[in-house]
Amino acid sequence: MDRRRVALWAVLVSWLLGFSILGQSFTAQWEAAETVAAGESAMLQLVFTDCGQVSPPTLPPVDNAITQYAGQSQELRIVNGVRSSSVIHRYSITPKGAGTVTIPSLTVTVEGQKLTSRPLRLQVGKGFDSSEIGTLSLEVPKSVVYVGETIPVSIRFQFRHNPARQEPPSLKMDGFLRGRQTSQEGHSENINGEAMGVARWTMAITAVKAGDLELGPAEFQTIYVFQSRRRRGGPFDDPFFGQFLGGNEQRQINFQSEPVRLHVIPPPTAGRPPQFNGAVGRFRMEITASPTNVSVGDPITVKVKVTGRGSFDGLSLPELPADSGFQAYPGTNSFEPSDALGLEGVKTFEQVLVPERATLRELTLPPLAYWDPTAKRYGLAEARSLPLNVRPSLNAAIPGGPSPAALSGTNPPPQNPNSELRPLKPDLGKLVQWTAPIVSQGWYYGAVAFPPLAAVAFSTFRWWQRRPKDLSEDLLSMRRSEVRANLEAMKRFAESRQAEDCYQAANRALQEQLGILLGQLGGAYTEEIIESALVPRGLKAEAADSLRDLFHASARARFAGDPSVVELDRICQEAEQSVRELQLLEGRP
Amino acid sequence: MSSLKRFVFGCLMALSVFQISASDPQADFDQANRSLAQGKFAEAIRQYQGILKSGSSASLHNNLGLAFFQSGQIGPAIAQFRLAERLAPRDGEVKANLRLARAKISKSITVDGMEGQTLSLNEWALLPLGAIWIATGSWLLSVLNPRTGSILRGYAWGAAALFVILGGLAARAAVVRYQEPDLVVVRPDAALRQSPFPEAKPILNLAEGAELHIENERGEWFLARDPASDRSGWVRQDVIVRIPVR
Repeated sequence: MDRRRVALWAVLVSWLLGFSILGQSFTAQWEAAETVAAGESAMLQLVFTDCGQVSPPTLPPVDNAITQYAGQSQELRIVNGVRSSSVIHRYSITPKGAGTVTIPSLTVTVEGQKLTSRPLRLQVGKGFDSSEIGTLSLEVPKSVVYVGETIPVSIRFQFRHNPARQEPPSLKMDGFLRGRQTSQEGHSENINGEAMGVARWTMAITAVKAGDLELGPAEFQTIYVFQSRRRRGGPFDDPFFGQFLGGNEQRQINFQSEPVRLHVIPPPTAGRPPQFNGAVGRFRMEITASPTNVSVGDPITVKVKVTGRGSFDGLSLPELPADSGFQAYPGTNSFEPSDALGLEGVKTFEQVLVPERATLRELTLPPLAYWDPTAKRYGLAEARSLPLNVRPSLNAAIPGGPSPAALSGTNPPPQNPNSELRPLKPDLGKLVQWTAPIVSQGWYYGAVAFPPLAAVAFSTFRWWQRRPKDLSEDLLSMRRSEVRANLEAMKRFAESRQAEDCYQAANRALQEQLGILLGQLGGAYTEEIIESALVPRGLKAEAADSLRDLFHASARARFAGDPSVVELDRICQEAEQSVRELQLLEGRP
Repeated sequence: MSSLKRFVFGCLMALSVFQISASDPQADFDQANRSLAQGKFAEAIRQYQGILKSGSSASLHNNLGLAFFQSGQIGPAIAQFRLAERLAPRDGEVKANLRLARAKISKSITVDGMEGQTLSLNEWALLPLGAIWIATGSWLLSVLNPRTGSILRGYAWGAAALFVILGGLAARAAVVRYQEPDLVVVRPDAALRQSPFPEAKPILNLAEGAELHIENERGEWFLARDPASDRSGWVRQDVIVRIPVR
């Protein structure tokens, strides 16, 4: 390769390298003129050429101007066959007042290479006076507030012309917490004889630290549409054509209020109740609990309603003292405002308390101490004590433990039989072993069957004992029965004074008994049998006389046909006596 | 010392040691009650169960049920209350606890006569037994003593009629008692299975506190029927407590 050829390649390579290096550029520039009127915005462009995708750089603080990123766009150019692409990041620069706004030199790093832009200046002329359009003001009801105090603050926009668009106003509020906010759309008011529109945004703010704090300024960004001066006049000077031909000009106008200085002081320490935990306002407290008839260890749901006016966001209940007898569990709370800003309302705390002692008879919450910024004094919100019946159900069962009645001095209220456990049983009672029921055991049925079986056996035994041994005994038994039957009949006839029948029955009984005694059939014995057979067998003389008398009486009744009714009782006695005497002779030879 | 004396001395020493080491169930019961009152549920349960080794009583089962209940173990609580009810069928507090425990698991199982029984089955059984003995005794005395025979025969007939009535009531009580659920599920992971094996497919998950009827037994498994779903399956004995009939 000759020298000329080498030099040509070197030039070409260096040109290409130089092109690539020169083509990667970063430029800061104004989108339009470098001069704007006060109240108007200028658009700053940061152009990255052949740098690929570049994230938007963060602008440093710019004095006397408000900056806001406005988006990005891409641009592709081919000039004389040379292709280049640019990424353009746009920023809205809104001067705060007349003068000069300087955008300092910006340095960004792209693919490891630092690129720097030149500084830019923006001349801000007087332009038009925004106060001619409207004014923004900050309304604060008081200049001295207490730490924790919530006050309403209003941003008031008073205007002659309605903005085409607007952003919600912003408020610088270091040292304050923002609460609820309301807005009031523009309405007309007569101010100094001029009808003006008024819009108001009101918010609740709470001071959180002491000191001289500055609230504000409030800022309000609007977009107004003006008729363009450039196209004024001519055949297309019409709003309709203006839409298409650029006859109207949009202009962002920012309004700013004056800041307000507030003197924030803490509530005084003098006279501060020990329960004070930072509540500022004026409050009342009510308490409800359910159930109120519980055993030790049962949960009680306690609801505390705090009503009033003040700062509810940080409002909390004082804690129960350690010796309260209740175990407190974390609860929940909810707030129901009664005004739009939440300055007044009801905050409800719900908490579970578990009684630990049976001696508790009421639930008393510590008072809620608050600082009243209006009256400038501390106050106490106290809830009434709730009567409780904490049953010592478990403790009472312990031997030696106090009874509920002893603890309270009164009888406990009646319990819902279906909702509460019954107390422990203090007496163990007799320990038994689980056995099968007696109905499943054989001995039970034996015990049931034994009495009737024994009765049957006893009856059988008696029958067996009394059963006739043979026919003669059977006959003898029948004849004895005959004797008894005749004696019974004799007595019945005597009672009914049937003399003839009575004598006949007595005679039959006597004859039958004689037959049994003598081993013969009865019915034909006369009084001779006395001497011949009975006396030799040992019949006593008195019995023989009585028997003889019976024979005579019987013969008289039978043959004379006139039986004596008078002697019936005596005959009956003699007949029974004689039968017994004859029975005594049985078995004697 | 003779061997006899040594034997007697040894026996006395052994007896004295036994007396010293043997704990007083009532004292243990008091201690368990104290533990329960202090909220030491696990300790109270352990102490009550220790007493159960010596025997059962309605108070013991009731308090053990309270301990289970307070510790959130509703199934075991129901089982213990049912055992207490079996031992003390007229104890209204036990019935109330059982009712509350059942309500705790939203159960509404009510077996006929389950809470209306005021006599145990054994007490029911003894009533006709006494009547038949009185009837027989009265008849026997009437036979042996004819002078008072008619009066005693009246007693005998009255007692016999009472025997018939009480026998019928006892039989009905027995039927009702044997129709009550026999098992209480005491574990939340219990299930009725297709066959008596742990690997068997569960066919019905049982809620803790559910009460089941026994249909069959095989080793440590019960073939049980859930009255709520009327489904039967096998359940292992370690997840249930059996309620004996008494």
